[in-house]
Amino acid sequence: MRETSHSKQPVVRVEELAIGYATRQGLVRAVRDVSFEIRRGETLGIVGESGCGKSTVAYGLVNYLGKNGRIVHGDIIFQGQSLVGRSPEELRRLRGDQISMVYQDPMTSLNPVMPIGAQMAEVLTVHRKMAQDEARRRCLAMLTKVAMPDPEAVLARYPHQISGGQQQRVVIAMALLNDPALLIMDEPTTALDVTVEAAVLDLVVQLRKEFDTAILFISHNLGVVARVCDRVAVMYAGEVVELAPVREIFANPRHPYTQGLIRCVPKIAHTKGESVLYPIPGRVPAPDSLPAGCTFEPRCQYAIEACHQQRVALAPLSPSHASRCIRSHEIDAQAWLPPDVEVPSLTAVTSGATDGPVLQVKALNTYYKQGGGGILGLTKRPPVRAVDGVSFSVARGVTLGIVGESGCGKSTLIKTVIGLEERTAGTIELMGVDIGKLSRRSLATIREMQMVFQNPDATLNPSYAVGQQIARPLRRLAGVPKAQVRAEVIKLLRAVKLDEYYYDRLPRQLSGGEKQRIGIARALAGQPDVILCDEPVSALDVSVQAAVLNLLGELQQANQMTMLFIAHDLSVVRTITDYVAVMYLGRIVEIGPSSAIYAPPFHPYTESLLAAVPVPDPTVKQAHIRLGGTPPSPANPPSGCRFHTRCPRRSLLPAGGNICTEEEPPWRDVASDHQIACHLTLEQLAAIEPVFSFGKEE
Amino acid sequence: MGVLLRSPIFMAGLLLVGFWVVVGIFADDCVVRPNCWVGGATSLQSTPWLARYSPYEQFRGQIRKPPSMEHWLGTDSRGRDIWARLAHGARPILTLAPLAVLLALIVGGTLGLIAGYYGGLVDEVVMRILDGMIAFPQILIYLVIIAALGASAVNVVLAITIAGAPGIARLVRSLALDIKTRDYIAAAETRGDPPWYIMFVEILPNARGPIIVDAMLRVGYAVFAIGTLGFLGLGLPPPSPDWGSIVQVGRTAIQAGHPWEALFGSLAIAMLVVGLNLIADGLSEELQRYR
Amino acid sequence: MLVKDYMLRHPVTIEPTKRAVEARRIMTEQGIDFLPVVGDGRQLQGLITPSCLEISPERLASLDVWEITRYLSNLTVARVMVKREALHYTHPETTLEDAASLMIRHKIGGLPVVEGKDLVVVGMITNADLLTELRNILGAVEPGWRLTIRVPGNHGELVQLTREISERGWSIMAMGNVRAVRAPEHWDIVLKIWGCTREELLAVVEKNPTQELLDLRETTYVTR
Repeated sequence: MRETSHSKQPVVRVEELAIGYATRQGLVRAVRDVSFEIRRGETLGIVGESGCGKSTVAYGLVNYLGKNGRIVHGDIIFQGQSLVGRSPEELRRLRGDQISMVYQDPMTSLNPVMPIGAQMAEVLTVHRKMAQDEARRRCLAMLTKVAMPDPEAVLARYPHQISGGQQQRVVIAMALLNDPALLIMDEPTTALDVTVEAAVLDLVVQLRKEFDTAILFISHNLGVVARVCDRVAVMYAGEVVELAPVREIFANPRHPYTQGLIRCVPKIAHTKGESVLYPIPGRVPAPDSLPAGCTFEPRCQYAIEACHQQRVALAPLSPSHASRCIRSHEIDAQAWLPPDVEVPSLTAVTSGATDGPVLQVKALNTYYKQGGGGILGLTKRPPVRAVDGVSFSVARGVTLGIVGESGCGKSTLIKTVIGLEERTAGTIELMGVDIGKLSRRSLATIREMQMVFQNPDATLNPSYAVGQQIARPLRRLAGVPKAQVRAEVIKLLRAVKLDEYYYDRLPRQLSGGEKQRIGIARALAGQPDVILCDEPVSALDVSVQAAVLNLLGELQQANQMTMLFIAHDLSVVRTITDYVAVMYLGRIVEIGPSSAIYAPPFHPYTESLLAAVPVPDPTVKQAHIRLGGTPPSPANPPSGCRFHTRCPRRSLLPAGGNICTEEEPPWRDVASDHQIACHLTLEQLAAIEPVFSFGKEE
Repeated sequence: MGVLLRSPIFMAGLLLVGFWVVVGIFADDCVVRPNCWVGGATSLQSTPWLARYSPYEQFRGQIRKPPSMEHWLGTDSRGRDIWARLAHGARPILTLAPLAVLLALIVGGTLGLIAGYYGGLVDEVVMRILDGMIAFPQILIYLVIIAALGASAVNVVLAITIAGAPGIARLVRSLALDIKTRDYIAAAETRGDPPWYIMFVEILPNARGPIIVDAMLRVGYAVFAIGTLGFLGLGLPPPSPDWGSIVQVGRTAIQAGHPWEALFGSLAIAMLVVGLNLIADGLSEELQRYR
Repeated sequence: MLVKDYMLRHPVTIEPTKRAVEARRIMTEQGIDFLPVVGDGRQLQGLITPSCLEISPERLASLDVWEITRYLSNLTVARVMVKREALHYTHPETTLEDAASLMIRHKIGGLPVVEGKDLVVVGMITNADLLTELRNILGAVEPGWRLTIRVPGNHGELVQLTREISERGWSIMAMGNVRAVRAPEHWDIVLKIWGCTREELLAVVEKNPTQELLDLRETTYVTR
């Protein structure tokens, strides 16, 4: 442990910051009364739902507020000097010299037509007038520091030739080239897969120690924040409502909003039967229509008359913990009682209890043809094997979750089942009858199977009112007579817990959660037997996500529907599904009851996924397993076991796991409904340490 | 819509175009006299309103006179009032140009939707043919068609429709390619909606913004095209008042010190085209803000 | 033990065009004695030390009150700083002892740490940092027995002692070794030892008569 005498003066101190945007309705204060400081080598996390002003604070720090935005109050002291009111030229120089930013999408920071080495070196040659070869040497050293495989080769590549995780590494390396005093990271891992995200977060933690950089880390994901931050500021409606060390935030949250946020995040420790998610009622107020008193008062169950009267200031509870609530001292998160809202209690279903499968998929292949390679496109290229030999069956009323990294074929699988993609081989049987191409399916078959889509902004046609969009499948699939359509639509709206007056609303007047509810209502219109959900909650904020998950679970249970549920978030999958299938490169590698696959014996890939999940609880210890390398291309999958190129457990097999590269892994039956495709024996798999240990303190 | 009225660009465009629309409609009392429609524009019985004179009336001794109180914009080589001719000339141009664009929209829009939605071979064939047409200069297409079919109002519309459709098809196709990837299209497919329904009911309404802006610009081009055809003597047959031919006739007198005919004719065309462009700009600006 | 391990990274800096008053405010607020002056790209231009900000009375004697105010507000950092040509600086890869020699030789309390030919400021190292290192070398932050012995400058004395300690399973938490100031042919060795009692330790030391016990005391955790 090295200890230096360096003064503990903060690198950046933000005082009562308020940022406003000039709109046609006048000045709207998107951020108000935000104060915090970050010291050397410290990471401050800002969490909150979308529209809470997190990013605005970050952009405010470097005065990147666009034409109509400006700092209307407060001060930002960076390294002893105020940043407010400096000339754009000074700020530009500062950004280059001392402050760096990393954005969500790495491609926004990379120039697509320039090799990576050239654009990295540019930072040094243009800004510091460094010689070319010296700059190149430094770029190489920095790429090595961010654990980039084969850095020498990467320098010569173009951004599109490397994977998303590697692009983000390049961006981080570029941000660190100038040795900035402050690094602002705005959702740096949101666009990445969970396994890549874990590696990037490791990198952030390690680099902060090495470079003594102050980091402002913005994320909507509580789990990510728990992993990298020292202190956390929770933002709500443009204000910091709670500021505390990371352990305090999770162990002893004092603001009702923080408590609510933590309660509505699905916990990886909980299975379907045990978990109850309590969504926060209402929605974040728009900055131009804030309530008169406490901004959270309309959604707060602890609200008393005084909360309604006046604005609340951020008040210290201890030297390191502050909360913006007049009742912080009396509210105890442990003594919290569920409010009087219905929260569905879901019960896990096992297939043994039901009759034959509703949906059965056998040896399904979906290949995409690739355009020809070479000049003139004459060379034949192998097809992309998006789904390659997948078999499973689902019984009535059972929910099957499908998880895996992006590109593993889970979306293609679901699209093939519903008929949006054409299969190459295999059978899809609905109640024992093979269903073909979408255009050849009868209306009756179409009605039995409906889908809920991922992106709330694209799921509804922006040109039509909500009522018309739900009416269409009602008329078409359920054959409801014209006169009764309106009544039926309203019935469906009520089923997804929306009021009658939504009938005439246009999609742009709705929030993400509301759009997703309409999408669910539309899918339910034909009273389907099977409902397919393609990441229905991944684009939603946590509080809304909880409500939508509850709704889906409840409707599925009430209507005894069979559900296929895709998600990349394993905690979400666990709270809603009975069975889980883990996919890797177009294959299912493990399938079993959701209660079983979260503990050994599990497939090494499942283990890696679990180890990468960001857990919103700093006391939970997670095994440190990180997948090396990048996923191979599904156009040219590895021989033998497809996971062998990245498998962390291959060394357990004799001869360095030669068998993995040569032979396809056999199916090992853990139980009648739990199978793992691996060369390791069940005994070896069972001997692996569990990923999670829920010890209290170390 | 209310937002549009606050946009200065849009309002300026509306003012310029609106001027000619009002002048065109109220040039004479034809709007209130049904029998004038039967007789056609050549009817001399109409009472001039805003035009002040009939476009055909020749004033004795008033040949190529500069603007005066009597004749606001002067007179032409035959002693006719230029203002009256321009006012009446607004009529065919303001009917034919939008009509031609509307037809081009129907043809090009349908082709673009089909190509964009189906993709693959259909797209390939349709777009190659249309690309082939785009490869010819538009003016050449006009000349070929008019030369083959003869100069008449119908043929002018036809020429502009044929020349404009490929561009519109291209635009609509690109919009359709984007929109068809949205989830709501997949939702329509999964409930078994037929392709025509998806194309015209689900895709088309969401492409309307760019299409309207493009159409406005195209009306401007069409005004230009009609002017050009008139200039080349391929527009409406004389003695109908036609802006293009007014410029053409006036052109010869410029060097003789009588620029008024050519000047005001060109100005009229420019005003209308600039006005339509401003409307298009205002619309697209508001559409972007709205997104 | 290189400069880069002990220096202050991302030091507070100031631009040469700023006013001297501003420099003074920053130094007071941040509690620092050295303020590197940097230009574009954080290139070292000079250094502000407290003495730069002292105003010589003879300079002001001829001015009236209003003129003094004007004089002060016009005084820029560039005018008062120690210019780069007259400045000593060091590099991140330099050893701590070299940096210390530089500071001793020139009687200065702090050095800017620069990188590359263009002298980009990457840190600041001060005598406080060196003292911190001394404290850590002597193991002040670790509990244990602090033993000081004087040995003749023969080879093997230290080796023998450390072998004795490790054989017994005790740990050496820290060690310092310096030529005795008043007995040039001897060496003074400071050891921080953990895992034994006073008597056990004394027994080991007394085994070897050439070693002279100077001091033995127990230390506890030092709060940082």
